[in-house]
Amino acid sequence: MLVVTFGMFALLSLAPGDPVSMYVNVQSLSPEEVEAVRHELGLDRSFPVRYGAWLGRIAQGDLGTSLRSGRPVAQDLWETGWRTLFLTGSAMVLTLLFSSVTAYLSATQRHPSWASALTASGYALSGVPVYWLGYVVIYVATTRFDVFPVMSGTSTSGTLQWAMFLVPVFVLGLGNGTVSEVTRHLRGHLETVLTEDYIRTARAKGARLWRHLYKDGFVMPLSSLVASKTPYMLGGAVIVEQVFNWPGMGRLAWQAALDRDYPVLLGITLVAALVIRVGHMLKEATQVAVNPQLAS
Amino acid sequence: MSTYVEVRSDPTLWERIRSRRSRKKGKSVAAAYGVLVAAFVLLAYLLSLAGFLPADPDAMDLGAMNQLPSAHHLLGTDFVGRDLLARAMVGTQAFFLPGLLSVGVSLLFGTLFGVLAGFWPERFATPVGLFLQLMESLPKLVLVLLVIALFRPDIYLILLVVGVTNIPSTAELLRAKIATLKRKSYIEAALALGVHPARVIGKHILWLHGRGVLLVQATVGMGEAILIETSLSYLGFGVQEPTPSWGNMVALGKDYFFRGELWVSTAPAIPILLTVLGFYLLGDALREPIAEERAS
Amino acid sequence: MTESAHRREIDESILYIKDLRTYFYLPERGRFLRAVDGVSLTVKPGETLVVVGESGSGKNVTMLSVMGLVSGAPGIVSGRIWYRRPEDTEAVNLLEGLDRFSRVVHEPSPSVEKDTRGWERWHDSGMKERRGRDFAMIFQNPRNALHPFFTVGQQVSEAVRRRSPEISSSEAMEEAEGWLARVHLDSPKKRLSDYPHNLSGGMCQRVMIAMTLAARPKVLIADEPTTGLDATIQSRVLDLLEEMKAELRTTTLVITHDMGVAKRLADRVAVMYAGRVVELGDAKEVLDRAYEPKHPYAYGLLGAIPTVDDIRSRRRLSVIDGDVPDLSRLGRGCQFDSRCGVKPPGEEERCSEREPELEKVGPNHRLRCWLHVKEEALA
Repeated sequence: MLVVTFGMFALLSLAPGDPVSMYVNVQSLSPEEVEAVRHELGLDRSFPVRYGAWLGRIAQGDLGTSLRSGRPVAQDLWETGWRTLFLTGSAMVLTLLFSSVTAYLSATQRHPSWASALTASGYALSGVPVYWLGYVVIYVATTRFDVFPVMSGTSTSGTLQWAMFLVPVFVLGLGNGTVSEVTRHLRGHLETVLTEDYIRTARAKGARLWRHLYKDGFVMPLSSLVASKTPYMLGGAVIVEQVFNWPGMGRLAWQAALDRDYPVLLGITLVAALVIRVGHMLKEATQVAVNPQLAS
Repeated sequence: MSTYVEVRSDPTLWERIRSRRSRKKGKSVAAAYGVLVAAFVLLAYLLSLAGFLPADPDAMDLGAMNQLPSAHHLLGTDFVGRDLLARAMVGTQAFFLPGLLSVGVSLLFGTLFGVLAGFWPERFATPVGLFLQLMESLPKLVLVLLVIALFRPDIYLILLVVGVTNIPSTAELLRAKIATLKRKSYIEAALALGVHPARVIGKHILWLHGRGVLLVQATVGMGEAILIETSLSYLGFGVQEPTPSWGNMVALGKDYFFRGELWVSTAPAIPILLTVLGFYLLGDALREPIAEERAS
Repeated sequence: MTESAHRREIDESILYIKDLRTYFYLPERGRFLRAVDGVSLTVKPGETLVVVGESGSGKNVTMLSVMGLVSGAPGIVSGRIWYRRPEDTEAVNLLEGLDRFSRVVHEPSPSVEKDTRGWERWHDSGMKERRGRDFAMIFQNPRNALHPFFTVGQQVSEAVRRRSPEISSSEAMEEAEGWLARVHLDSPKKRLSDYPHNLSGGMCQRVMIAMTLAARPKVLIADEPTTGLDATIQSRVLDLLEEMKAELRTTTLVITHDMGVAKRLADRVAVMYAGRVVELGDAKEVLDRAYEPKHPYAYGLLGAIPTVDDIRSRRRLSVIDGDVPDLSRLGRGCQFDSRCGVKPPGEEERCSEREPELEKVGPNHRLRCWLHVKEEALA
């Protein structure tokens, strides 16, 4: 994580523009006041010192202030972050479910027709641009099912309210392109595992195959895949949130980019990186718990 | 669907299996498709540069808005009557060179760092590893937005950054390959036979063993570049009107969904789908033979 | 005499494999690999039958076919595997239904069509019940054969609970500890929580044996139980197997390419070559190189084992010229023809034209060789 902050800071320093503007509204202050702030924040010192100071501020939760709204970035992120987490998390679950089923059917060659159908649709969906898919879904939902009241101007009943939540999850989960990758990796892995000697022993024992299979065949690869695909999911969330007007961190990022509000974006990047690194740590913990050979 | 098998009773005659195409055939189809797609894109790009377009991409014809494909306009028209096919062809310019830049940067520096890390792991393996960790922890789209906010929405700059983010994965793959070759004493043997070190690197490692990895990185990288460029243009950051990009064409057309005119947004989405799918399938297809090579 | 004696032999067996054929399709060559090409064997209850042969003789696939663990199209193509426990009156065909999933067609040429997927589903649902209960199997390379993510205790108690599902997990674990002690594993209680990668190859094999014993099977199949182990460990594992054989008298089928293993464990021996049984009989007769009649291949195989006398007399070990035939391109005559050095003079043609049947040449001895089989027996 330290590396990430270092990288971010390096990027920041490369940028044109006055870093002071991250913290105060330069227009409203006199040059002397700006200088005072600059000195106070240590922005006129050397690189390592600046870095340390900046790091200290971040650790205390001070991510600067938004250039556009003047509100502290941390607060904005706190409000929107959870919504994005919900969206991305649910979408990831959906991706894993779809891929697991497809990979399992494919590797064990049961119901081969289903397997091919699912694999093919996975591939097709992976190339479709998410934003277009989102609009198609909205169009269908609105014209056929009246799901989005904002668009059609009518009110919705209780059940359709749920749909409004689920639709973006579906679009992000299936349309983001990660499905085909995950399926491919998982299927390859499963095929290898199924030929292992210990699976043969398990069958010879008459044991239930699933029990012997799930640890090596699913938990291990899926934990790796989750950790490595989270960045792509977060990126996709930016687009999906924009399409569906979902008030999360992704839409905030898009808005901030339009406004060139870089403190906000910096904060978002850091939060995203934090989430991803936490994901990696969880992956390691899971894998060690499952595979006793890793414990040494 | 079941598999039928013919077993001849006379053991010296031929025995055939009746159904079930092997997966190998599927792989070559995918590869062929990918190559075809790449060729088409190249063709469209060159033609658009040379000006050999079916129509003037900027010529507005308000009497022929949002039309479906016809003999006059092979892909139909957009909301101000411009020919979609011509605009799509010009759209390749938005990602072609920047994409090459991205791939070029990632391959060039990736190879450099990879070779360095491979031959002097004591000095270079850790920095490369840290760099990789950094890049794995950042969602690309968010990083790109940050860059836009800090600097400017220049597509070349952006794809350069994307190329940089791909450097460590290429480097790591090459490093691992070199480590394997080292372990197999392949390199020692070559050097002992008197082959000049530069030749060992150039011919033996990069060409014979590394080209698979590099090709896969190149194809996937190009697919990714197209996806990012179109996503950015969709979000409003890339190429601006009236210059066409597949992404901004989808964006412009999306409002017409609710008037029932689906084609305007779908038409540019199709080449995105086909092209990205093509590059990914090509990368996929190239990956398998490499794995087989490795096993042998 | 042959008829009724044969009949009696079958009636007394616990397992009767009749004319088993297991083929695999090779897409690169467009041909079938005939791994098992007409194998017939009987096994009496309580006896230990050792099947010997080189790699590629079909011995492993035969046993996998019995267990129904064959994977790959088309798999078991034809045959019967009759299974009758001493307490049963009726024998059951483990391959029942194979006819239903195969049919003979006459156009464009006589052949058999098999619905592989349908058969596999059908067969598996039947065999699933028997595996781990009636039949138990030990494999080679024991370290790979045990699941790396479960402890030894978990794996053995799983076998216990398979046999007696009503036992609680703690009781099963206790029983597992008992089995580990039975196979002479040191500090069994501690071993329960060890993982396979903490154990040596020999210990892993003991664990596998413990697992199979815990199942209290009617038939135990050991697939090259000593392969992959160090020489000294092999001997210890054989000690254990001999001990179990004397104590439990479980019907056992052992597959090996090591004649030493056969010598120690076998009551009867079957020699396999190119997917067929070429010699079958009592251990003392088959494993004795000097015993006549003998199949030329078995003779050659036995000659390749150094004995003390050989060392003393400095006899050169015999080597059988030539290679094992390509199982996807089998010829019409005897499969050993090209390598055989003892063809009956003046009758070489018969060896290359027609394949001999497995014929009785003694009260408990059968051979597949023109040298020892009379022509009239075929009429």
